[in-house]
Amino acid sequence: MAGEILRGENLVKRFGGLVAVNEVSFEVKKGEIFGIIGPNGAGKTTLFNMISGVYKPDEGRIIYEGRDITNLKPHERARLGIARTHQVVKPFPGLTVLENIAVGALFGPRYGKISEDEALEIAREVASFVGLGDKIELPAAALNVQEKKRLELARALAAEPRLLLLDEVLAGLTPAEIDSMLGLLKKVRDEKGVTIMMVEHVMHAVMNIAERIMVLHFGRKIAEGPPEEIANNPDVIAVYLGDPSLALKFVKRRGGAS
Amino acid sequence: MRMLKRPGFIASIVLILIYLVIGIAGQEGHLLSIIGNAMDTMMYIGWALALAVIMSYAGYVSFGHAVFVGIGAWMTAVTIESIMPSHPFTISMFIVALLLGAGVAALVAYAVGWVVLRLRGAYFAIATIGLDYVVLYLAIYTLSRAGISPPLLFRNLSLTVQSFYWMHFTVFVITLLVVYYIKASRFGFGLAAIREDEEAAEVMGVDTFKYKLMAFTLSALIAGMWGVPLAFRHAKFDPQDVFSLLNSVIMIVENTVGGLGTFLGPIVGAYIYYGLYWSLLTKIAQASFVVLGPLIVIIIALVPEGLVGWLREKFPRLRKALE
Repeated sequence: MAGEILRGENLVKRFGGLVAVNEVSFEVKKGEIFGIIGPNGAGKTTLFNMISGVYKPDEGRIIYEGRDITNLKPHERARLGIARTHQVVKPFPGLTVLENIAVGALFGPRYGKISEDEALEIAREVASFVGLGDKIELPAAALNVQEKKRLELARALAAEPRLLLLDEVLAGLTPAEIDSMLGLLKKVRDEKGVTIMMVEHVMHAVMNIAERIMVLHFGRKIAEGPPEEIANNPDVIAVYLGDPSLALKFVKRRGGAS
Repeated sequence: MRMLKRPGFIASIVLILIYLVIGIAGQEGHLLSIIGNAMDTMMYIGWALALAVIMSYAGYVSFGHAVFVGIGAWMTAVTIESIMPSHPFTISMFIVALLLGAGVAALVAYAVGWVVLRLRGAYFAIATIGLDYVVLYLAIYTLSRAGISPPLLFRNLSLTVQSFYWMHFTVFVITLLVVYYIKASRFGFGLAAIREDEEAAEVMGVDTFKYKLMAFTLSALIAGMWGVPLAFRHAKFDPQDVFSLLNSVIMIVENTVGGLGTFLGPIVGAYIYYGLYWSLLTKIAQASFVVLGPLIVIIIALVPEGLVGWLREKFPRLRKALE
């Protein structure tokens, strides 16, 4: 299929009796920003873990750039140009910011093609691109949450991925920080042509940036389409309003609480 | 090659030159006592750096690492007694022992690592202790089958202190250069990523299983080499001695006291350990371990990040120099 970078076919993942992801199929086009939303426990992160290879699906296939990658290990997928960030940030705490980012450059799709010195040079550029230019010599453990999120993004970007999976990069950020992060992501897509898949809880932000959105609920896909369609979809509204705590959270976020 | 201008490499070259000078000056009779200390420190640094590759760089504590030193000593015995019996000592005997000791240690580590490196954390440490005991009793059994009750003494070697010294020196140079290269290369970056967060490392493209296996194998290879000068120097293969758990503990202590994750840490740790050991030994002889144990506990309690780690934290400007 022309223009397609990633396709999931009938993906199923079970944990014991729980079906975390249930027959989900989707297709992501090259160069688009594809949002995934849904209440807690909808299976969003599990889906990401299947795409990055941390979990193997119980059923279904994952096709990336026309190739079946269902049985590849995470590091093999990384070398094909799939990079991700984690919902709970996973920096290498004892390494400096620069070294953290250099790991991304050294082991991504350019594995074996660049030297350590070149990787550090790339890391320097990417660090300033995400706004960590003045922190490169600090150990990652010394960064605050917002900076750690930027570091996760930098590490992923340093690999020069073709598909970037962002797992709640906006959570925990202030509205101003969200705006600057969104600007950054747009830049990544527009300037570097990277396809972005993002899982988000911050609804208005995804609505703002994504071209298409998929909604998961209890492991099933209940809707997919452009943001305005999703916002008016009665099923989606039912799902969100049906969960008072989440609705409240949503309202709070809009109100500007961090 | 910026790698060759970095502090770790420069420190290695300085150390090599110092020990070279000691070796040449040590030809004089009255310097013989220094030669003994110099050989000891080279060996302790070598042990520390061997373990550092898997423990300090990749974050996997191998608790039975003496097994590889023991294998090196055993293979030295095999070389002297079976492959080149009734030979006068030649350099080739040392080289054969070195290749055999390092090779067998690496093979054993590769085979064992292939199974146990799928386990994380404590299981790996326990598995290597088990390995140490298996090989120890295998060595005792093999000797007794040949009608020898350990230790096996090498009777026909008449070697000078100087020749032991150059054996130590040779292995010392190889160790410093190989370990420094591991630390400073892409491989070292990957190991550091594994140590800091294995899952994140894998997702970022580090082939974690292969890297861990390579690190364990190389670590064993270097430890195996160190069994060779040890066996020649003591002119015997004594399984209870070389496979002793105490040797494994010394390696771990050196790495911990010096500071994990750095190249200089294990070297500094080796000097601290040996300095304490030597000064206590000459003063209170047999009681030395009674004092040494608690002293090490106190040091680790005071500076859990190790001396080099503590300096790096305390003086961020020194981070680059103390790599």
